[in-house]
Amino acid sequence: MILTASFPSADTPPAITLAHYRALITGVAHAGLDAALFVRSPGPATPMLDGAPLIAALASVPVGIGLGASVPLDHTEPFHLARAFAAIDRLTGGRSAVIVDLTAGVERAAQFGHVAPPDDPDARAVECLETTAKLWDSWEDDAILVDRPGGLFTNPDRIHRINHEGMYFTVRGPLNAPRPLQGWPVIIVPVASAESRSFAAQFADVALIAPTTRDAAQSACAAIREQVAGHGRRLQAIRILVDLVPILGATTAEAQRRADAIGQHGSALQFVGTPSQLRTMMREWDAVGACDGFNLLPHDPPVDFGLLATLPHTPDAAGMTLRDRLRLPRPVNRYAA
Amino acid sequence: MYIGQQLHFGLFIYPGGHHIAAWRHPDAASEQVTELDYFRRCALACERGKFDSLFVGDALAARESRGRVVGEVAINNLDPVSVCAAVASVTEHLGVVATLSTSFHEPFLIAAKFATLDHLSGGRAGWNVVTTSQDQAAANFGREPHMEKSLRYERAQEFVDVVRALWDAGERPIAHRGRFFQVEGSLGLPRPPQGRPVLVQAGGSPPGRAFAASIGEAIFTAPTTLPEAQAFRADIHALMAACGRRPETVKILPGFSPILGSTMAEAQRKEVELDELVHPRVGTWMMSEYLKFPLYDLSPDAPVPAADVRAANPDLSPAAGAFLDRCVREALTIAHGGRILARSRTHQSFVGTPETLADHMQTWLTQGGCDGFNLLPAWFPAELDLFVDEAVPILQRRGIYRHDYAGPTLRSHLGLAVPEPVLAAA
Ligand SMILES: Cc1cc2nc3c(=O)[nH]c(=O)nc-3n(C[C@H](O)[C@H](O)[C@H](O)COP(=O)(O)O)c2cc1C
Repeated sequence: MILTASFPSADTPPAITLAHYRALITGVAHAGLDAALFVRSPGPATPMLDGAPLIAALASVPVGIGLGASVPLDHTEPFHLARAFAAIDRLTGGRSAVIVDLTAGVERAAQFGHVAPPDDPDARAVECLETTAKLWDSWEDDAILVDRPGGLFTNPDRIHRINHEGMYFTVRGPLNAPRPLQGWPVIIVPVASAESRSFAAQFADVALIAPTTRDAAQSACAAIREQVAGHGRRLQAIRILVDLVPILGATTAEAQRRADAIGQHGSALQFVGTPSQLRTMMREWDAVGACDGFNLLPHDPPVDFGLLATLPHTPDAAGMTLRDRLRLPRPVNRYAA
Repeated sequence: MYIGQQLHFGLFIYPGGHHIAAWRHPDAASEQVTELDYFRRCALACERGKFDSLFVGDALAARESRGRVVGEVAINNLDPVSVCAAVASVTEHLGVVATLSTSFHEPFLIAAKFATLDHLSGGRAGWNVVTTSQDQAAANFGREPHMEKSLRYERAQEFVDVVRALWDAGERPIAHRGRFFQVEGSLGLPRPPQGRPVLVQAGGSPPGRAFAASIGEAIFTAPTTLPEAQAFRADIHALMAACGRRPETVKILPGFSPILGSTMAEAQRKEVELDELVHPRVGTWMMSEYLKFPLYDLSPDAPVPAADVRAANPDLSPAAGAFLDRCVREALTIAHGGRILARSRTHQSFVGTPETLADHMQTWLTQGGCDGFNLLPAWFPAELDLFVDEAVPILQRRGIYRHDYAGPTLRSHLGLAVPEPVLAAA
């Protein structure tokens, strides 16, 4: 079962320090989770902390977990996105994830400098990600030689122009950076609409869904899987995680007291109980195939992850890529002979 | 003439080293150039040497020769903002300067990127503002042909105005309507710890110099002689005065590529060893790119066809023009010119002992040629370590270089104040 933790950008601390984020992801790793995701909260006024440099700065924290950051896909240029994540994936040793944000360009059109948002932001986002993936593929995995005696650092036969000409982008390529260690970073898509579901079915390695019951989760998963199959993708190529707010306590009573104090925040599914009760619940969902895991949205990360860390779990594995950890296939390079 | 009292150093990091063939040297860390440990190692050397900053350049197109990637040279730097974020996370004092182009980005996201970097680093971020001279970049953004040069700088000026307004406003909204950009809104972030991340500029053309004098707080340049350096510095100071700026508010940092030895003979031997590693094809390619004229069909031993180059390129950059003059003056062949470019891409190169290096730097400082240097070690990390461990202590003993950092931010290293926010009337 896959477990991730999400930190919404709306919760940016008053003093934005690296120490804060280091502590946060160390807590995630100690709790036995697989990845920490920095997700842009919807809305035109949420802080514009850029998740990409944030996860690059967290690459040096000695934990093995994955690190994801939101990217405004309906606004970004493919070359910039490909170049930034080619770097981040190398710097993190293959632990990076792109979290697809399909609404930033619409919600923030005025800030980004558009008089009007792009006429079809979803089509632009699809083409942006497709073009970005071509750029990642423009270097084959064996393009770097470092052949000192032969005098070749790279093998030009393994580096390709992409010559992309589409509706929204014209990009010649190749990228001027080697292919990410994982081939492509893990692509994560929060599903909140028919458009984002369709996007997830085409591209997502990981889809995040927000049902409020187990039955709803089961049918949401089935709907996504059906669309995934419709795109000719194997069902094992996608992991579907359910958003869950854990409100934990050492005892049921303590958890309930916290829940009463916190109240209901947002519409996501809440779980109130002890860490071992949470684990039981997750196993039950897993057993009936309601999802592949959970994306935890902690109300108080140090408290909730501290409690989760008391459960027995396998220690955080270092030296593994995020794709390996999630048992996701490595993308085949379209240019490899 | 304003004379600085203390030298300032920044490291220009580059995969393998600044000598184009350095990556072939057995001591160069060429296999590691995409790994965090490579950057960590170089960054810790900079901090040991009390440098102001580590600087990462940028390019937005692969290096090609006649439509094919040039395999004989190392890869480009990785994405600068990502590298700078990683470097900031493994250091405590060192400034981090990332290059981003105003020609191929939009101001809102760039303001957000540098605000993020400045917050996370606790006030150590700088932005090298470039307009991108590499024409091929336009093909990666559907914007061929690249804008005409004066327009690039007009866009750059407005771009910087918008970014500064967004930083100054912090969580309050701005409303900008200009020729290139319309931006209404706010970053929703507190003002960055430095008020504004430090602005670095390296334009060499007349509009480039004017832009540097108007916004630059550190300026990179590439003079090879002291008179050239003095003239450039005096010109920038005069242009600054015309904008109402004082000369102490900028650090002018010529590029400087050292190869050090414990004796002159040892240093020279090292340079020859590196020069012999330059592939002849690379020399011809570098000359063709730099002079914007294809030389591939000529023999490497042919003289540089200066008249043809000029006829084909009436608006050659001042730096390339000066280099072409030198080729004529010294009757250089294409191969010889290629070796000069291979050594340090026309930045000043230096071969000698730590003592003679200290003499040289002291002269440039006290004669008003510079406020410090942008260091381009021939290869990494060995030449960087040599400079830090052998040359820096001599400069410290002579009282022209700091023994320790005076403060925690890049502005404090550069002796720059936090700028007052300029806020539009509400
Ligand atoms: C030390 C130094 C570093 C530079 N680094 C970059 C760089 O990383 N990316 C870039 O596009 N231009 C870089 N430049 C080029 C200039 O910033 C400028 O764009 C170029 O000189 C063209 O402008 P000009 O026509 O005004 O000279 C650098 C220049 C110098 C002297």
